[in-house]
Amino acid sequence: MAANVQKKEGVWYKIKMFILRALKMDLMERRNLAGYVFVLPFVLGFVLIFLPSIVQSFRFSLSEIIIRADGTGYDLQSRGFAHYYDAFFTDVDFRVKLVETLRDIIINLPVILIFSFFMALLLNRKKFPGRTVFRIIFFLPVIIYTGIASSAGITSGAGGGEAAEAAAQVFADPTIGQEGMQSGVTSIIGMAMNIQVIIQNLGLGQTLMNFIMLSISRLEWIIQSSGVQILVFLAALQGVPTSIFEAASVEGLTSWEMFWKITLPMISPQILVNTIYTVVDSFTNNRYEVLSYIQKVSFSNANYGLGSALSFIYFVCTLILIGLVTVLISRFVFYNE
Amino acid sequence: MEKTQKTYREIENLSHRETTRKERAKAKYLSWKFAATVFGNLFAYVLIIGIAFVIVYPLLRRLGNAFKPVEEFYDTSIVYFPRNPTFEIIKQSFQRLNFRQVGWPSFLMALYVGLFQMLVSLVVGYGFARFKFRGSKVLFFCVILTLIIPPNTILIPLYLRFRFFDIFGIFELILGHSLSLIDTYWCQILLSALGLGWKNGLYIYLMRQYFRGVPKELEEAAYIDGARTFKAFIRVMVPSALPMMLTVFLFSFSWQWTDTFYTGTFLIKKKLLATSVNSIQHDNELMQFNLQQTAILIILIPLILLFVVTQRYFVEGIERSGLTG
Repeated sequence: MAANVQKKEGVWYKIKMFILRALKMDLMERRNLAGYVFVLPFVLGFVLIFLPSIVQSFRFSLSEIIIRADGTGYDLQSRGFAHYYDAFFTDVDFRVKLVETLRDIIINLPVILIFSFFMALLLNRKKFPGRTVFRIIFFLPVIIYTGIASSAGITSGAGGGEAAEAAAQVFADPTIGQEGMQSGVTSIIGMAMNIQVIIQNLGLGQTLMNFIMLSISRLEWIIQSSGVQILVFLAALQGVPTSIFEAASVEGLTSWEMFWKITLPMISPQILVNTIYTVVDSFTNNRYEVLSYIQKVSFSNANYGLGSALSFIYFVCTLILIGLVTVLISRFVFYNE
Repeated sequence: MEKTQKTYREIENLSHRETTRKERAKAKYLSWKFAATVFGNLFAYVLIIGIAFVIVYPLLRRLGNAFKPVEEFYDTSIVYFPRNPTFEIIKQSFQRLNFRQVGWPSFLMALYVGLFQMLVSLVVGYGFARFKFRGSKVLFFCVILTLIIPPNTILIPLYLRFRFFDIFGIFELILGHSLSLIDTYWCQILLSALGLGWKNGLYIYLMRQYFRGVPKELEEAAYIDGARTFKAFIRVMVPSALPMMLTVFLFSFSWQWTDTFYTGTFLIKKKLLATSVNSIQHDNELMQFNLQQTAILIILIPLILLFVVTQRYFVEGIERSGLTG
């Protein structure tokens, strides 16, 4: 009798019971186990490659890397949190650039969102000749500029170096040749200048005017980085059932009211999606100074330890900003379910 | 009550009265509504055309410069249309880009990476969209994490991992040393197949959103017909996801085709198209710049053609994804 009880508590008994319970799971529960099989490739990659790389990068940020003279590898010398201390108190440029980048991202975020939403509204109109052509043109940046403009260049260091950076620069710069560059730049700047004069005479506040001016001078940049956002908004707009609008027009709503009372709430989930996407995209975009500065530190100056520390600080800033934006916007998101 | 009667009488009157064509035209075209429509359309067109121009402008400039003879670069009065068009620049940058040798490997690489990224995001996206297993939320947060962390952060560790590649010491045991995968295609193919390629997190996210929009009844019908989970996935879900698969493939194909980041890191001696742009050198700085720009144009043109041909499915894929938060 006693032996029997002991047997019941043994390891094998537990395993047997676990299998039995797994077999007794209802159909949906067992089916859900298949989910592990489906996500397996990603889990493998994350555990075997991504996570160790992050950990290693973090270890680099805590130490000095000394490359052996005979080229057989490198040694790590622990520095504790010295790099993090340096980043804030010794490095003159980093703080300034970090703040500038954060400011730029926060300024660009609403401009990109409003712009892409506006363009999606325009492209969504029915009966509009040449719609296909314009759609192709508007999605071109997704294919062309996103890939290359965001392909961060690295200088020397790990490998194929300068080519990458120079290519990124070349692609970021739309004008061609010294001569071409001048005339192109002057025409665009000339346009912006005129607008500046006009806006100055409007008598708006200084801050507002600066904001508008910044936006105009970034027009091209904004257009190029809002391809995906336009797509997402367009998809959202097409997903709003027309029956709601019909009902509203029967009730006597004007199209202005319809926009605020129907369109905007219906696509608010996508506003959240686009906001997060824009923040993520701008944080990994090489055009913002801080990322190229981090690259300069880690590859050109061959101070990879400090570079990793800087990029971890940058990453924490990203997370904080994304968290803030998500909390702020999700209060206004309306789910039609 | 009174009102309806009145309108009824009015309609009756109208039908009896003869309205001239002039009156009808006047009622139609001289109304505020018509003016607003015309103004709105005009405004929309000006805006759309203007912005479309800003987008196309760099391509137009490159196209114009590609046909210019060398002397005309110095003439600022010539912008888009060269006076004596030649194919000299195009021919030279074609040669210097080494297109004949490099083009095919670049295509293969983009094809492999595109296919693997598409397949992995298809499978993983389906897993996240349809199954509620323990830890699925944490794992999905990990997907977002791979998207948020700038790839530069992990570039050196990644490089080292592929330079001294080993799986649990198996290669060390058999061959006596770890493998070096640098300068092979395997680095990027492995990364794509494990869902860590360039912007792979975004594709997984897109796929997940897409599958969430597909009605569950489709699979349930398949289950009732006796299909197992995987059979239902392959027979029912994959065909319904074709537009989105094409979209993801196009994204990853073209981003790999123009990628210099991973390609420049993992392929050091071997050059692909995008990474060989900067090896174009010329004594004349202006000439070098123009050769490089034309090379970029040569690289981009196949992509643009591909996009124009497939754009219908591409937009359809995105539009049908619905992308609910």
